[in-house]
Amino acid sequence: MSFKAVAIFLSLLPVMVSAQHLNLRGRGLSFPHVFDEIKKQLGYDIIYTPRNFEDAPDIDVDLKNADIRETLTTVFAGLQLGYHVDNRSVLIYRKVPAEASIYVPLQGQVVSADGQPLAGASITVDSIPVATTAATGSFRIRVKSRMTTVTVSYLGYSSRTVTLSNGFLHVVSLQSSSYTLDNVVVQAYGKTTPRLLMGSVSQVKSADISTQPVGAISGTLAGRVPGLQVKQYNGVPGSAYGFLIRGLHSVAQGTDPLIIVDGMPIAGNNGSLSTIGSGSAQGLMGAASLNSIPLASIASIEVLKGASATAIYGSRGAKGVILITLKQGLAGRLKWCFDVSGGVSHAVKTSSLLNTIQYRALREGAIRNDGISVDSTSAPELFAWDSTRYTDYKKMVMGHSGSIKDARVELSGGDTNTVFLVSGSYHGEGSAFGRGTGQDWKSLYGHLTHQSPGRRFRVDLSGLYSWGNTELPISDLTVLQFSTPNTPSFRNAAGQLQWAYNGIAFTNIDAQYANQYQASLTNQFDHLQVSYEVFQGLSLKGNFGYNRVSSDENSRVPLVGQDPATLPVGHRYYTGNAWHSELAEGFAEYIWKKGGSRLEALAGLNWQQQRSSHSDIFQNGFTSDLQLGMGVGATSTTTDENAIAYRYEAAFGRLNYSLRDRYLLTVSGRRDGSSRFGPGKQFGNFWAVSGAWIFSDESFFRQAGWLSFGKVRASIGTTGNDQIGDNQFAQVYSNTSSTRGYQGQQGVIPQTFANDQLAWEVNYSSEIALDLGFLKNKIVLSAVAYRDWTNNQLVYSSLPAQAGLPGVFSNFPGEVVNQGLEFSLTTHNWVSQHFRWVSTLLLTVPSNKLRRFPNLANSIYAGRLYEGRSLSEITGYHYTGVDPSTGLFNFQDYNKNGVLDPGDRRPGGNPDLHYYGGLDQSFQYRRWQLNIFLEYRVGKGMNPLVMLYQLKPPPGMLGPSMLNNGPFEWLDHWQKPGDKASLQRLTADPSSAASQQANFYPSSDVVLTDASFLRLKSLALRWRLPEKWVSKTGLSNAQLYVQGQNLWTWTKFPVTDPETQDPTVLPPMRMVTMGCHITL
Amino acid sequence: MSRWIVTICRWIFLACVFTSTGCRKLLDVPPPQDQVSTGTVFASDTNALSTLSGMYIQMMDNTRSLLNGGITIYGGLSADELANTYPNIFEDPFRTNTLSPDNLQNAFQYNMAYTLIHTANTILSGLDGATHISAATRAELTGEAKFTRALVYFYLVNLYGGVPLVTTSDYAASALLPRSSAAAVYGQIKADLADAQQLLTDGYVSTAAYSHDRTRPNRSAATALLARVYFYLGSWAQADSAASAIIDNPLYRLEPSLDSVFLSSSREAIWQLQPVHANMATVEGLNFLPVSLVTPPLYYLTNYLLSSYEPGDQRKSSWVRKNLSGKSYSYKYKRAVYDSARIEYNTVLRLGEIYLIRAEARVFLANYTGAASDLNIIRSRAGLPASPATDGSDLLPAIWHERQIELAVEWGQRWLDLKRSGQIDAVLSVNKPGWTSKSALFPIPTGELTKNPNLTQNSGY
Repeated sequence: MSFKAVAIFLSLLPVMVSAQHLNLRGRGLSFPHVFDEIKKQLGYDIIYTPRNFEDAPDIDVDLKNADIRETLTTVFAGLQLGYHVDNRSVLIYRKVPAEASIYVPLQGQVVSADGQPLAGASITVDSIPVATTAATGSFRIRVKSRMTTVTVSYLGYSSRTVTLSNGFLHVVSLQSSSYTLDNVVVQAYGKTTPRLLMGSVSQVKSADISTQPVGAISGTLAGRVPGLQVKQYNGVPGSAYGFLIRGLHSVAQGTDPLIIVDGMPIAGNNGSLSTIGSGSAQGLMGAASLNSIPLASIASIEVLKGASATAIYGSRGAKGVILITLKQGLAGRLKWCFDVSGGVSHAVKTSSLLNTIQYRALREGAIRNDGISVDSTSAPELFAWDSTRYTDYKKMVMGHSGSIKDARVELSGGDTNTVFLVSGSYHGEGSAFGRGTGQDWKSLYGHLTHQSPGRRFRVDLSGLYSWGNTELPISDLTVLQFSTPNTPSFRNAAGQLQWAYNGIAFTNIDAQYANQYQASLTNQFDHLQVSYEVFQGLSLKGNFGYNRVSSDENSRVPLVGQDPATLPVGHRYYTGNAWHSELAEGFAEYIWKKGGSRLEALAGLNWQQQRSSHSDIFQNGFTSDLQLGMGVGATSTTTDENAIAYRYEAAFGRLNYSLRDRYLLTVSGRRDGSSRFGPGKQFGNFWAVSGAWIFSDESFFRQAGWLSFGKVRASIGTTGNDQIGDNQFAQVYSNTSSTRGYQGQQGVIPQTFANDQLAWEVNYSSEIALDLGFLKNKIVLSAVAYRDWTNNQLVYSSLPAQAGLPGVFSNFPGEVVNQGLEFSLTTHNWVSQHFRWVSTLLLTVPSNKLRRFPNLANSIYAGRLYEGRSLSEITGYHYTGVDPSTGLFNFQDYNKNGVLDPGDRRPGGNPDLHYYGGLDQSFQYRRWQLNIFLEYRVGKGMNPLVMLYQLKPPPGMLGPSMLNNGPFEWLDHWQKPGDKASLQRLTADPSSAASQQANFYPSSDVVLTDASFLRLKSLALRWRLPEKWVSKTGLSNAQLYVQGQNLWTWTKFPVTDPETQDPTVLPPMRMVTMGCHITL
Repeated sequence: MSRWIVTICRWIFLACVFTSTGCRKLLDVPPPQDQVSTGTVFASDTNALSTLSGMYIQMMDNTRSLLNGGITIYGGLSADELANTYPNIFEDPFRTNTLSPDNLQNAFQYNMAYTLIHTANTILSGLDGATHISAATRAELTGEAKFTRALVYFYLVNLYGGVPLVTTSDYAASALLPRSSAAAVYGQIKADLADAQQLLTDGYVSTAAYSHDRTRPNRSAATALLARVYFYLGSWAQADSAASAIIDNPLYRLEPSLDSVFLSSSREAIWQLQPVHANMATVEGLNFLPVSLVTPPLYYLTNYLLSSYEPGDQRKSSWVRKNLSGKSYSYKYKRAVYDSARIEYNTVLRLGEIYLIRAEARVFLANYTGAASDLNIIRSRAGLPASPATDGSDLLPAIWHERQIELAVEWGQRWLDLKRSGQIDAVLSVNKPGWTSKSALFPIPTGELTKNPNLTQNSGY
């Protein structure tokens, strides 16, 4: 081979070095020493291959005021060495004979900044693609001249234009792109960049996730993804969150998107882990398995919306897809990372409650309002108890600070063929209920990647094992804050629990803590991906995975926590749930290129199985807590067991064609089979077509210097839904469970009809989007308009009694339309060497309506759904305020018959959000990094004052049985004619006019109130310690940080948080943590 | 390039073919563990027989459903024998005969009736495709399912008139059926009972621990119900012979003591239903007996009924009781709380009724001596002298009166009798202020009319 590659070319940042001169004199100097001096005095990096100088003689040097060229010419005199001076670096090479041909080969290798070869990078000369790199990252092209300018580009990296000369093996290093348009985003079965993306994929990067001190992935996504609504159900640690992507599609089915972790659908999806009969403070939705994935192990989260992004997931993509990608190791030396942080959390957005004086004024006022005197009959507790006693029960119940502890250790490293990452992490959160209640997760994670030396074969193995423990009360204690402020002490003088004082009973909050709930949760996740490049362009890939999520829950209601006067018995519950999910998937990928055309084809097969099992034991009748603890002596024991299997298979394909990276077209299709449907209906076909035109690359736009990127894209397609429950198509019997059986025997009774109509529910979705980049992509704007429609949804329809069972899944004849606009605007407000400020503003404007529904008036949905209105529309009386003369709640009597009757009920608005989004601000100044994220939502929500008015009515009712405190809003009640108040006159009499009107209050449109808010959702400040401090200690990087979550909320929403909206559940917690991160 | 597109298309095509044919088996999953598919249920005798236990448990699981107190309470309230103590918007209209089609309790009765019919129909259709069921089991299943279907239709047709006649478990075929004529419903009842007579055995099916129970219908139960059906239809000769078959059967005899009639050991019982709940005895005991002598009973007997007892009638002392506030309540069942000895069962068919059926049939067959003899057997057990009635004109009112007393607050007998004998307008217009004859039939629940446009409402509603 005539061209012996002997030099390395590296040129990093184009920083100009001012001309300097060198003075050097010495005898017997080694070349490395000379190079060091050049570097020191002239500021050039000398790039050379040490091997070339191993046999070189030491030299004598005597140079004065020499420039670089002079210096090198002198020292290289007589040696077969040449040099090439770049801006800041000097390349030294061994001289080789020149090539005679005019077409000379130019060869090199493309690597990432950390030295990883990049396969498939494209090399263009004069805008004509001439080559792509092989698996080793190497390329070889024929060029016309000795010095050729080539452009090297690769997905997710900034393109580089470099001038290469023949005769060297050039190594071109690409930096991860800093511009939003060229970030790698994960899409279905592959990766792409926003530049080339055809569907709606929104990315949340690891940096944005891990700067939040919460333990739940779901909690980090709120406001960060256009089109994704996240609902926090309560502020109890470990609780589940709800997702809604692009609106409510379905009348009856769930809204959870498909959640895929590293290509593997997570077992149980976002379903509740906990189903225990006693309940837990985590509420109806319980805990979520998603929370078991440590945030620091996540590389990125992508949210896929619309048919073109999700159609390849076919049947399960109708509610959107959330792809979670876990971290991989990086090649290089062994790297240790330690991260430790700690902090506290508090319940915020709670209401001020009445103090004893205010409470008594309301209590007594209500009684007097009804013409009754306040005495030991009408308000016995005021006389029996110390009527001046005041306790802040809000503080007692939910005023505790929870501690947050996080620790993580990560080790990664490897060579070019094998990289690995292992980590262990811990996250613990205490609850606002105090007394040791809280939740923690511990996890171990590992990822191993190996490539064969030729890089044709690659294997990725990852495993995550998380285990958690939850200790909580068996119910959300928040509601107990409404205990009357003069409630007597919960313990008598002897320190024993008491349940009544002077004969008047009360709820003993202290005793509630005796009711314990404990859960052990595990999540085991294993995933293997193998790929093999059969020949250049064609690869075969296989995905195999296993996921097991399980929960073991125990709860105990001992005697000690119950009033002995009620002759209580103890109960004990146990529930075990497990979900196993198995996946086997194989696909082939082919990439074909010619001229400016590029075709990517993907085809594969997928098989999946999920099994879930449930067992529970309920023991009742314990007469001693000792026996309860041991589980002996129950008078009745009920057990239940169930197991459900689900299987799924699919064939899928995608064709992606691009012409000069400017005209793009994608067609995808999938044929799915699901065991949830009966014979003959198991398979369904789904498809999507999308196209894009990057018009900014057209010659007529290139003149416009301000527009650096412009793309218009559109797509249409179908997705499906099989989330209807298992075995609904078959005629099945369920077991009877009557206590005595019939003649001592249990039997079976028909539970469902055989339903051969049960088939895929198909959703149509379409979108059109415009992506623009201005001023060298310093401003990137993306605007999407989408319209999704669903008809013939499968819903459970009731049947006439004569059919024998209450109903059957059948087609819903209405058409539901979700449409909306999504905007995202990223601006690089300031980019300089020391200061960098980047903002991202997200905005979603959704709308949901039932477009048409033939014969609605005669369906079971009459009076509940309305054509042209949202599926969430609320029907009720129209509230017109408190009548200043009578002091009563007033409602519109539409049919003017003098009474409020069902004929006066009207659709009264909905709690759908009008718009929502977030504003992310990222600042970097020297060693300081500040991230501020604001979330906003605008729309109506359920009024907690109305809910409280019904559940915990204002103080006043006669007798000792219904005693409640309330929020300060109760003070604004009507007292005398002419008052303009928000609450009607107080009453003590259940048969008074005010009590009658109160019945209509919760069934009126007053249940909706403004729930808009602006929240300082997260703030993170990091400081990188100076290198000179760090290097002395042997560390390579050290950072200190402060993070806060839910720091402040601006809202007019009363009583509780506008997100949870329910005054009886714990509102989201404010969390503040401090920590340090060090890398060895 | 085109070559590759063709190749890829071929792959996709092959994949589609692959998944749509060869891999179908991969989608086969067992049903959820708490559910059993029809195929499994009818795969063996033992499994199939559990559908019968299921059917009776379903019958007895919901208290106040049609066959578990519903017909007794709501038939009693609608007639002139029962009144409710506490106002209740769903029960009052039965007592005042002002039932609206929106009444939820009425809808519940109607619903539960069809739920049971569906269960029976599912047993019959499940047997259709079953190949591993022995002839004996098949006969037992078919006989009991048909018996149950006939029993439910009997009450439906008497409460609502002609109702949709559903004999299939396929909702697509049954959901929109219009109402059949009462005659057609009776036709189906007779056919089902005739089949049940053929298929069922003379003895009672029971388990070891319940060996003396008469809680599964046998041939006599089918015959007894058939006797009642003929009797209601005025087929006197058939009613007479069916009743005689029971009366002549040595398995059955009148309990000499009135206190023994409703016991689980009663020799008078032809078919009883076993309560299935842990915390209660019969639904009658639970609902009619007051919690204590000072608490009022939920339901008390009307003055009209109480004044109808002849002096010296032991049924007034044995089957009626008074609490301290003077409210009289039905005391046929004397236990409200479950006892492990299972002393009382809900008695559906008993010999006392059969005597009275034969007595009335014999009047129409002009066998006055026989009629009087049957009537007096019942009277004599109640400690009453023989009836002075001897011929057609006075025997009939005497038997009707005897039925009112003997079968009081039992399975809606009085409500059905008043309608059957055509006395309803005459009697109730006296006892019930504002009585209108439309109230003789309950309304079809509103929800049914909206869900099935082919249904028609009973006249007057």
